[in-house]
Order: sequence, then C-alpha cells, then structure tokens
Amino acid sequence: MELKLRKYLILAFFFLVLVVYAVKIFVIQLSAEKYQKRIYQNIVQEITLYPERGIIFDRYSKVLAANKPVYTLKVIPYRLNLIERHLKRGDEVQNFDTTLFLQILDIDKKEFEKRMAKARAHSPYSASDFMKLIPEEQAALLKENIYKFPGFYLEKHTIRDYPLHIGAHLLGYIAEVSQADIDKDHSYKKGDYKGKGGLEAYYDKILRGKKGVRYMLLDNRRRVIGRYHNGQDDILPQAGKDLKTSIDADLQAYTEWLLEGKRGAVVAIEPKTGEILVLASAPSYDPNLLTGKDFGTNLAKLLADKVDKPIYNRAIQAQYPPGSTFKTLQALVALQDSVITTKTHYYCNYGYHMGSHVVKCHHHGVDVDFHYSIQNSCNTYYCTVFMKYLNDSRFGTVHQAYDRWYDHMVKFGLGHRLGVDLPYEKPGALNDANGLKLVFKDTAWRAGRAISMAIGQGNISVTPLQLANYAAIIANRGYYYTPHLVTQIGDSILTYEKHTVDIDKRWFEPVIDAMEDVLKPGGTAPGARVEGIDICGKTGTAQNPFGEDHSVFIAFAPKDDPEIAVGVYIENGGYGSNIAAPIATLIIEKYLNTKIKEKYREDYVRNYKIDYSKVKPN
Amino acid sequence: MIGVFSNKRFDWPLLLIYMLLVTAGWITLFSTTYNPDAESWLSLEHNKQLFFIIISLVVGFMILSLPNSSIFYTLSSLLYLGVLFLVVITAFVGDETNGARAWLDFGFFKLQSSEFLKYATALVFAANLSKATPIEFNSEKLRTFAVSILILLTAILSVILQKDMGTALVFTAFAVPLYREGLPGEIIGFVLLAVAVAFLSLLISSFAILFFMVLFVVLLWVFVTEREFFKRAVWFYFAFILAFYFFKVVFGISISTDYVLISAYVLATLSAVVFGWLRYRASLRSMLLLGMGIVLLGLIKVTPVVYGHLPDHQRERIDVVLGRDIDPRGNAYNVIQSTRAIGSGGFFGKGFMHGPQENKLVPFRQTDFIFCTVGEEWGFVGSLFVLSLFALLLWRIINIAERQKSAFTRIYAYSIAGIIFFHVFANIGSVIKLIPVIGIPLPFFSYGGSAILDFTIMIFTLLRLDMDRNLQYEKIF
Repeated sequence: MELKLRKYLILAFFFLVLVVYAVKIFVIQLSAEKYQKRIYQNIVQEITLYPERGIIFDRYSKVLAANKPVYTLKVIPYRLNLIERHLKRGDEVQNFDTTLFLQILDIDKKEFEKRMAKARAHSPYSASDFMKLIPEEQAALLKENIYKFPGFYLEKHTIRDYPLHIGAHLLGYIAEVSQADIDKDHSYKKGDYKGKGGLEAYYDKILRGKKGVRYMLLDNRRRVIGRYHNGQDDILPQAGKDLKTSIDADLQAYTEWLLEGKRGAVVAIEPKTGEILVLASAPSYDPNLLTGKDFGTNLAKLLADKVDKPIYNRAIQAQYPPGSTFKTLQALVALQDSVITTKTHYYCNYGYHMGSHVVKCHHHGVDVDFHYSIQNSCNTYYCTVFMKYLNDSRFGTVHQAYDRWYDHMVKFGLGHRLGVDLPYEKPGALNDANGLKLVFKDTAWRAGRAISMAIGQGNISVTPLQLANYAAIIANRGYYYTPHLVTQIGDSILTYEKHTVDIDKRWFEPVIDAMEDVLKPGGTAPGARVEGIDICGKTGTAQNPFGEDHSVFIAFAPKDDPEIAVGVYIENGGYGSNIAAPIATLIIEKYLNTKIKEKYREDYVRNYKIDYSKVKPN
Repeated sequence: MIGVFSNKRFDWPLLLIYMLLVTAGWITLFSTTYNPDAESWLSLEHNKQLFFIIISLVVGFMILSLPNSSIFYTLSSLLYLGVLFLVVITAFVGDETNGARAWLDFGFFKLQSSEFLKYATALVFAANLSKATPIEFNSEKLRTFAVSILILLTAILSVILQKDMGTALVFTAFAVPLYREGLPGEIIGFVLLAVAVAFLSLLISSFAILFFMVLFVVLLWVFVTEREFFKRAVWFYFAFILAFYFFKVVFGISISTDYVLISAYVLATLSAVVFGWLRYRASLRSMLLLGMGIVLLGLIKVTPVVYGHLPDHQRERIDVVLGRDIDPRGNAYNVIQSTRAIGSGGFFGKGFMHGPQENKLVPFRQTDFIFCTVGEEWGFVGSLFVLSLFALLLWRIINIAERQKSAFTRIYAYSIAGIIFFHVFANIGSVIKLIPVIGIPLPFFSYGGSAILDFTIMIFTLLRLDMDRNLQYEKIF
C-alpha cells in the first residue's frame, strides 16, 4: 500500500520540473528585450557604408574639394584563433596566407603582430581597424585575395582630394573625430570624419551626408552567410550635399601666388552680393597635406610652426589696426553728422598737437582740404575732425558723442563678427564709451585719450574680412550683404541679409572721388594704378609694436559700377603703397581683365622681400 | 477497428492528449521548416513528417486492433533481442550523423533503431520485473531484479556502442518504474544528490564540500534511525575537523582547506563506522549511508578532473549551463541562440509563421531545438500550453498505470512515463539552458520518423493494454 503512494511523489517530481521550466521560460521571455539585443549583436555584422562627402565647387563650378576612395582593412581577431583551432582538429579550412598578406600590405611580421595585438586588445570578438587609408590599387589586390585572409574585410571610405591645391584656409580639412567630438555631438561615431576648420567644418553636417549600414548574417563561426533580413533593413548611405561657393578659383590661386613669402591676408568681395571672391591667408599650405596617410605628421608640423602659423586663418582671425584706411569711415561719419562739410579745411603743421602729445603727420605748413585729406592721408585733419566730433555739444557729453560715433562704426561691420560662413571668425575690436572706461582704466576719460582711433590706431582693430567689407560698403554707397562663401547647397540657392549703414548716399561721392585720386599722381599710391580701370583705394600704414609698419590697402573698381572690393593686409610690409596697394590692384586687374598688362608689376610684388627675422613674435 | 472505439475500456482522454500533442507538434514543425522556394514538396521536413504521422497512426490502430494483448508480454523478449540485434548491427554498419552511428539506411527511410529499443526495453523490463515486484532484497527476488538491471545495462551499452550518449541517458528514466516498484528512495535520492554534488563541485570546490557536508549530516539525521550512533558520528566530524584545523594553524601545514575538510570527513566516517559497529551494533544500512558520504566527497574531487578530460564540445555544453564565460560563437552557439530565440517571443509570441525561420539561426531547429519555435512564435502562453500538455500526458499515463491489475502493464506505463518525461526534461532543459545539451528529440514535436513512430507505438500499446486492464499477464504465463 505504501508503494502506491509513490505515484504522487513521482507525479510531484514531474510537475516540479515542468514548473521550474515554465518559470525559467517566463524569466527568459520577460527579459526579452535584453535577449533580442544580444541575439542581434551576435548574429549580425554591421558594415558601415560611408557616404560620399559633398563636393565643394567654386563660382564657375571648378572643383575645390573632391573625394578619393580609400579602404580600411578591418579584422576580427577571434576568427584567426578559430582557424588555428580548426587546423589543430584537422578540419579543412582556408589557412591564412601570411606571406601574401604581408607582401600586399608591405609590412613585416613584427608589424603584423603589433597590429594584431592592438586589435586583440581592443576586442577579440568585434572588428578593429587593422590598417587605415589603404589606397585603391592596394585594396584591389586585397579584395581579390580576401578569401585567403579569413577574419579580415575591407570597408570603403573616401578621403578628401583638393585638386587645385588652393584655399587651404577657406576649405579647412577633415579629420577623424576625437572622443571629445563624440561626447559633444552623439551623431558622430568612432571612425567618422569631421570637418575641422574652414568650410569643411562650418558645413560639416551638410557635407558629410548620412551613413548607411548593411547588415550581414553570420553563422556560428562568424562567417558571412548572407544578408540579414534579405537586406530589407539595410540603409543606403546618403551622399552629402555639394556646396557651390562664390570663390573665383583662378583669382584665389593668383592671390595665393602673389602672397607667397609674405604674411598677411587678402579678401575680395563682390560688393553687390557680398560674395567672397578671394579669401587668402599667407603663409599657406597645400590642403592635400592634410589628407591621407601623412595627415598626422603634416598637421603636427604645421601646428608646430609658431612663427609662420600656417594653419592660422589671418583673413578672419587676425585683428589688425586698420590704419589710415579707417579715415574713409571717419570722413563719412563726420560728414553725416555735419561735424565737417566737404569744404572744411585745416592747417597741418607736422601733426596734431595736443599739449605735449603730437600725432605726427608728414605734411607741414599745408592747408589741407577734405579731398586732399583722403588723397594724401592727413593725420592732422582726422585728429582735428575726431576731436571736434567728440567735443561737439550737439551730441551731449564726450562719451555720448563717442557712442554716437561708435554706433555708426558698428553699422560698418566693426567690432563684431560679420557672420561669414566660416568657423572661428574674430570680431575685431571696437569699444563703446563704457568699454573704453575699462580699457583706459578711467571712468571720466576725455576726448584726447581716444585720439589715435582717429587714424585707425589704438583701441581699434579689424580683420582683413572687415577691411574688405567696408571697402565693399563704400563701393555700394552705403550697404552690404553679409559676406559669405557658399551660394548654393545642393540645388537650393542661399540668400543673405542686407545691411545698410546710416550714412546718406550723397556723402559717399566726395569720399569716393578722393579715393579715386589716391591712385593718381599726387595721391598716396599712384604706382599701383592700372591703366584703363577706375580703381578707388585708400592706403594704410599701421604702426604696430612688433616691427616694421603693416602695409594696408582697401580698394574697389570700377568706380561707378563696382564689381570687386578688396582688402589687403600685409604684415610688416611698410607703407600701404609699398606692397598692399600693388597686390590689391593686381587682383582687381586680374579679376576685371583676366590678364595683367604690365608684367613688371607682378614681378615687383613677387620680388618684394619682407625681412620677418627682425619681427618680434607675438 | 471501429470495434476498438466502441470498447468501453478505451481511454479517450489519452488519445485526445496524444492527438493534441501531435497536432501542435506538426504545426510547429510546419512553421519551422516552411519554405516557399523549396524545389519539391517532398523535400520539406513537415511534409515528410505528415507522412510519418499517418504511418504512425496506421500502425497505432493496428496495435489497437490486435485481438490478443498478451503478445506484448509473451513476445517482449523476442522483440527486445531483435531490436538489440538491429542496434548493434547499426553501430557497425549504420550511417553516421552528428557523431553518432545510429541510422540504418533503407533508401527512402532512415531507421533510427535505438528509438525502438526504448519501447522494446520497456516491454521486456516490465515483463521481467513484474515477476519480482515489489522489489525486496532477498535471495529469491534478487535474481529477477538483477536480470531487469541487466536488461537495462545491455540496452545502454548497445546504444553507447552507437556513440549516442543522449539516447543512452534516456535509460536512466527506468529509475521511475524501479522506484514505483519499491527501490529504496535513499538510492534514488543518493543518485540525485550525487549529480547535484558533482555539478556543484564544478562551480566552487570548497563551497560544494561545505554544502555537501551540511546536507549530508541533515540527511543522516533524517534517515539514520539509531540516534545514539548518529550523535557519535556527528561528534566525530566536529572533532576531526577541529583537530585538522588546529594542526593546520599551529604547525602551519600548508594544505588547502579542501583537503583539511575531506581528510577530516573521511577519518570521521571511518571512525564512526568502526566505532558504530563495535559499540552500537549499528545497522548495515546506517553504515552504508555514512559510506556513501565518502563516495559523494570523492565525486567532488573527481568530477573536475573528469570534466577537464571531457571532449571540448561536451565540456562547453556544461560550461553553458554553469554560465561560464564561454565563446558565444563556438559550440555554445546553439543554446545561446535558442534562449534568445525563445526570449524574443515575449509573452504572447510573434505569431504563427513569424519566427525568423528564414534565418535558420538556431541549428537543429527542426529536431532537437524545435521548442525554440514554440517559444518564439507562441510566446510564454504557447510554451505553457505545451508544457501543460506534457504534464497532462504524464498524469494520464500514471493514472492509467495505477488502475492496472497487471504489474506488467503498470511497470510498462511507468517506464514510458519515465521515458517521455526524460525526453521533455532533457530536450526543453537543454534549449532553455537549464541543463547541458543532451541531443534527444522532443516527443511529437521534433522532426524524425523513427521518434514519432516509437512514441506512437508506446502510447497505443498502453491504450491496447489498458483495454485489458483486468488481465494479469504475469499470473497467466
């Protein structure tokens, strides 16, 4: 009888096991999401499909930045171990052809081991980069023999190619994202490239496109056995959008050629549209140095050069005193606010005397009228005008008068970023009355304290872009469009904001007339004139604490219907007429006439030597 | 045949449960192996399986129509010897698949002879043991009992000859009828304990030893009826362990804690046995129990060594269950994928034909890993349904067993209950990573003609025997 009861024990045991199973199944299925994620990671290999980066064109559709295919050789280290295991077991497997592998990649066994160790350290089971930036020819050899290299596969990338070798600063470069980049913006993943500097950086999100992914199904030995889900989940890469810029590639190349051996920057703008024709900074470098295998060493070399600073984009980042080119704006503001008329004249005697302080001038014993003050760049005249302006009781106190003047200057794009479509633009320097209190460390500063600003020195600095921009404002007789490089993204045309200055149109003519005569006999830069083109310009010779004066020039042409406005800034180039003016007028001639009539002018610029060894480093 | 169903003693519930299982099994297989691009419909496993099911049903009804049920009793030895012969033949001339040489190729049909050995063994085992039940260890019954065990061992050996370890393990299922017929529970308990201890020893040795010692002492307390003797034995354990620790600490002998414990235990046991025999005249049973402790302890040290010498694929199967850090893309792949496939089913499943069968991620999905499809497509609800069907089946078989007048039918019924249970236990347990992978089919679900035929014959034989439940074969012959 007792044995009959064992039925219940047996049934209880059966049911207990089945209940335990049911509970376990419940646990597995409750945490389904976790399992699903892991199932996915285990059986699917994601192959990133890198999009083609958008191409950058110049205004005539010449290619400034293109793409060149390269390959990354990836390895899953575990697969190699597996091969060894199979070999030991005597299974028939494709053995790794080491000799051929080393031969194709042109590395030795030691290097191979080193790279494998690195990949293993990264992860034995997932893919690591074995070698990057493999050129197409080498990759073709690998592809052909890839079945002999189990565990390895190729991933196609593109790198940049800058076929014209110009525009390093405006184009920038691309580099693999750093961990900091990824942390900042999670749309970047390890191994992605990102624009650094220039248009590549500013328009990175547009240029880079969207990565695609191909899902490959793996079997238990991590062999690809087909497409996952028949490729239905695959995402095709979306190519980045192309950029059409306003750059004139020929003019840019010409400008860079003229600037060789000098330090400084040139910006040329089409005044009617704000389109930047040239944006050059010197010293420069071939942008192709920062693509491909030697990227790292080349970049390090460029960054290490603390004297020439070739990476530094002077055109938008250097902040220089505008010097006498600023007198054009002074004249316009003073006319607008009736501090002077076109008839106003002052007597110049060696300079402007303010107690013991003298702002020197090269004129002496001359009666200087308005026209002459610009044509000949009289310091005394503009010191007098500026003092008169600040002390004008119509405007209230000196500080109030200064702020009125300041507001005008801000409208000319000074003291703030113009908003050009490039990263790291600098604002230049211009303070309002309160700002000056801090600068002068004097809450009750008097007009005389600001005297050097009258002639574009002291507490004012501009970027070469701002310089060119106010040349464009004068050319336009009172307005400008935000200076920009990109005119078209893909098929859509971009529009930019129009800004007007609060100077009546009529006040521009006398200033422009005088600027025209700057390039005529009796002006400050007659040597830079170009036969047959009405160029209006203004020289500047900016004092600086580092060495020889900077040579500055703004210009636009033709006078009545300007097509180009230029700002040239040559560090330690001496008088504005020495080097900045000849460069500016060569660029104008080249742009308007496509060729230079008088070859010696080019030779002069090319041969003009500036001794930078005496310049104090800043 | 119609006469069969009008028989008042025909057990409809068992047939219904059987039909439900076969139907659920075939639907699952259909969803797993469905392939619209197949070249011919005959190449598809679910179509072949349908054919096997029909054959099985025909054979099943032929069994039901047998005029005389006693032939199961009388012809069992002949059947057993015949199948055994086939199995041994297969071991030498059969086709090898997945390492086992278990298939005899008949052209259209590949016969897995060992499947039928389970059935034949169940019959002959029942016929033999029915003469010696209830099991008692006295001289007259011992011979018959020994023959029963010999029948099992012969069957196991012949299957091992085929290198089919999974099927060999199935024969441990005969512990169920043995227990029912009076095998002391201590023996079953001891074997289960030994398995648990061996398994634990692979996890952490010292922990396993401590665990085992506490457990064993508790068991002793329950089973040893001579309480005085037991108290002394426990004192010995404590004394020896303390003594060993004392020596270890005082003399700074650098032996591991494991060996301290083991040595103390062995010495304590030996002393207790000698002391118990001299002083208390303790029963043989009590002293055997103490002795078993030493065997278990031996297992703790031996198992890891055996484990270390196992072939790679078997060791990895154990590692998977132990949750060791194993390569998920190697041999453990099956189980990891199967648990994930089941997990992906969630509570209600992805629905019929919505498992990623087109990917065939889980190898052996239509055979040993068929339960994945259940879990994935029908979710927890479906899995519970299938488990319940099996529970119902076992419950029904055992109820049928208990209403028999004949010990033969009862033992036979318990045998097939044990066999079916072991299949379910081993198959689903493997798939959900609770036990190491044992490659045996899930009854009524896994693809395979031999298996479905064998399980059908098992059930229908019981149905036929049950119709004559008032007969007592062992008394007649």
